[in-house]
Amino acid sequence: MLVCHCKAVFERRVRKAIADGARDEFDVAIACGAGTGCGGCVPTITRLLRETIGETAQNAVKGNRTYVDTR
Amino acid sequence: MKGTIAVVDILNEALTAELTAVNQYFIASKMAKNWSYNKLAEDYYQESLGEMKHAEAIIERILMLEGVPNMQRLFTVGVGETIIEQFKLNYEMEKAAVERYRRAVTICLEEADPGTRSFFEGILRDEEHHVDDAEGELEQLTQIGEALWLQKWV
Repeated sequence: MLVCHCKAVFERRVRKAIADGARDEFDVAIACGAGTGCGGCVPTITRLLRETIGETAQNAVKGNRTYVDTR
Repeated sequence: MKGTIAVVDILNEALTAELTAVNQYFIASKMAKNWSYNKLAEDYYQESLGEMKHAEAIIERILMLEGVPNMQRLFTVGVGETIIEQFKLNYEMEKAAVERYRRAVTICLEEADPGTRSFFEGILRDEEHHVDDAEGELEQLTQIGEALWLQKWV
């Protein structure tokens, strides 16, 4: 399934980024560009992160980062 | 005639869903056409137009209730990589639409707005019909298999 329309990134590429160590939306953005255009796919990326590494693991890593919703 | 905040909000949520559906069905149509599934391409094209007419009716209702239609926001536009993946994404979208319109009816009851309630009930019937059609197709897919089912849409 296409996840990021703006950067043409498919689900398997996002899953690979997570498998390679991406632990939050920033990591996924740096790894493959998904989420760096209009931002519309970020909820989908969050869901994929939760499905693979789980909510507690994700929140534990967020640490000092501040996320600003600019949409 | 002024609508309540809750009613205009749920109308706008429905509008966002319909505009999303316009795009989702449209790209599904064009990808099907690109792969020469001409019958499916035509069906999806008509679905896209149908959703646009739903959006039109919602926009008119919001304006009548002195609200501001949100034309900017979209939910996730699901784009599958195969005909069957797309079909399933569209089915999920229609099921979400039925759930949303049922919730909208409840909100209109709570807000004592029977006019908007009956408006939503009309669209709900359309969406239930879409879900019913999609469920029929998915059942047939499991019964006759992928290759035979895809052949229907060429």
